[in-house]
Amino acid sequence: MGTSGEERRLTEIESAGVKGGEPRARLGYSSPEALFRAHYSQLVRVLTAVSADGEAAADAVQEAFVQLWLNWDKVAEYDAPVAWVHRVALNRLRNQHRALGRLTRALARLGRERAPADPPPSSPLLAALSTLPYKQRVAVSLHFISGFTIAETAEAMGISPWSVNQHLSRGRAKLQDLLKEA
Amino acid sequence: MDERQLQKIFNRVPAPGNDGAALEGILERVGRARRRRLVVRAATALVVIIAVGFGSFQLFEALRPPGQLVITDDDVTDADGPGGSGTANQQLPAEIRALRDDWQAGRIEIDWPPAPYDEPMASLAWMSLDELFGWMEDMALSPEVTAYLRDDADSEPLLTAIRSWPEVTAARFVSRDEALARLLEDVENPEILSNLPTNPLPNSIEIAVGTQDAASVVGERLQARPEVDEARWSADTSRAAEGALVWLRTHAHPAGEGTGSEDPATGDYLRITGQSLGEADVETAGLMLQNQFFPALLQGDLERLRSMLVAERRGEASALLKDAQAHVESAGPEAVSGGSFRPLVWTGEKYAWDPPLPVPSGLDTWIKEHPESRLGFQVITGDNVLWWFGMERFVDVPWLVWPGPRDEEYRNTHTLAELQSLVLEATPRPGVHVQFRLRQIPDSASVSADLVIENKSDSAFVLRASDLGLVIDGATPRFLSMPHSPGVLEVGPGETIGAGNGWMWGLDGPTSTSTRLSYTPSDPESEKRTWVVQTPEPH
Repeated sequence: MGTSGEERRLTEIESAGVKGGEPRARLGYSSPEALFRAHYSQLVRVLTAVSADGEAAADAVQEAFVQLWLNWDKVAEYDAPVAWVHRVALNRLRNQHRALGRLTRALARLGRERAPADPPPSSPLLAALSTLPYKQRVAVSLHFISGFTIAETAEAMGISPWSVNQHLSRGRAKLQDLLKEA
Repeated sequence: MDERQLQKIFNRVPAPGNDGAALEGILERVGRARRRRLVVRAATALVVIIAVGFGSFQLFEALRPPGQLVITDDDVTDADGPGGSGTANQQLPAEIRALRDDWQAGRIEIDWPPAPYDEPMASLAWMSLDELFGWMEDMALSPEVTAYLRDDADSEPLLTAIRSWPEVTAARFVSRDEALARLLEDVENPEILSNLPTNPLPNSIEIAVGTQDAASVVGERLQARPEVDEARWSADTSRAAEGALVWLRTHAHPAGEGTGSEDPATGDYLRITGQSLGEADVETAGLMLQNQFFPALLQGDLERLRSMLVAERRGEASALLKDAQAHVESAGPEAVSGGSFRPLVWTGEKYAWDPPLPVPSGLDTWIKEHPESRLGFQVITGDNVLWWFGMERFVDVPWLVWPGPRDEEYRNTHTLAELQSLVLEATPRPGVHVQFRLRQIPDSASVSADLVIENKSDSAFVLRASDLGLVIDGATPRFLSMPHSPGVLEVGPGETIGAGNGWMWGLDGPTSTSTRLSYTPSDPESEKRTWVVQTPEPH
């Protein structure tokens, strides 16, 4: 029985994500600091790509690492502590954005001034990414920056591998079109 | 553009500048968080032990971080009202025992240990539920007075005087050192107290009295003495037990069913057992309908309000909506509403999933006839339990929320259509009017919950309650964003928040034209408030 196109694509992406040896999200670390040193910068880049806001990204990532330190005993035993910290950071980032949106809307309802609009993204990539739906943005960012496999991405995003595959495929296709135009 | 080109472009996403500074910042925040955690744990351990010995609900309050008050009203609790903490209220120990019995018999389960966001309860996790119930029962029953002395007080003459009072059966001086030693002995992890810079406990006198009434007499008498910094008596201990009971109620659920909760570490919203929402985007107003929303709002417990933000499922709501709509179409609104509400009743003697009281067709009448009873409801559409929640008349914070079981038996008995709507109003402090409104949207599977906060005073007040609701788009059945601010919201004189659009929960449906049942405080200025049922009026 032949392999379906979707399965093949999934296999390709899985292979691309595991660049030699153990999947990176499942690597064990001896301390939170070791994990920080290995992934802080990369994680900020992922969140910068997702949010087009380096400062907000750094804030969210730092909050995630604070949680990592505080919960290290537990997290160290997880299969994928790296995916965990990604997930926490992404949630924090999303919460920040939601909070900001709610505040803006509430102020608007009260007749107060709206907060100034966000500055435009600083690069064509970030601009293109910002037009993608949130999950597509996250999926492609985790794939291209963190080098996550489908399974790792699914774990970091808290959704099924199947959904990741969908988001990744659509996001990548759309991104290619957008960047081609740019 | 191929994969490699894309990869190259992604490689240009800028990296943060200074990892070292970030690490330093993180470690500093970790240190702060750990110190705060330690202090909270230590302080809560003190609370438990002191409460066991002396009773000290106020310390629970003191643990709340500053600056989080929303709308404060220290007098909101009527101690002698239904379910209140007053010494005259004999229901409390009975209810504690009933809840414990239900738990021991396996009829209900209680989420334990508490999640970390449930501080201070979280710090009680080292107690077993058995121990907790024992402690609560002691709290509810013990007629005892404790006088905490000022640092410079001469205890001997006071002790002699106390022993001479006719209400007193025994009195004993407890030094601060002894209190700390007792604490260290009783607490399971004494090391958490080892970092306390000084002994925070005061000298005290423990006084045994014969009756609850005597406790109040002696307590009030002591309060007036210059040597006494603070006197606590059974009303406080009852309140401590009540606080724990409220927590347990809200984390109790029928055996085999779970409740939603948030993982504070990841920010993920977890476990909405019984619901089949798929990836429905239910950025829910569960906080409104889940446990204790109203008391938490009135007490200004922002952390608790936040913790009530229960469910978040990303993606589309279409699967859920489709299922619900199919059910409505096939069975009609009556079938939907028939399965919608099911009462769970505290009868005054026990929790009854099967209420022994005959509930008439009009729920409003039933509520009037049984003001002490507590009701639980669940909302069901088709095979999906959308949400379950309960309402409890609780002193003048009239309704608490509660998970309820699904039970076919009560279909067609208590319908959503019969309830139609419920409006709960409070004046937590003069000039501030809070209204919580729950109503059915006819011919649909919808329930809407509105919160209206009106400032009738001549000065502004600050509202910090976050994430108060959810808007449903009237034309297109999809969930929209929350309309409310998570941050500080200043409500100026005469301003009203939440009026107009309302914050709705449930599925989409036409605007309600149902009548409503309204409760308003008879005397907003009074500490003791009663709730009267108004004539239903068109909504």
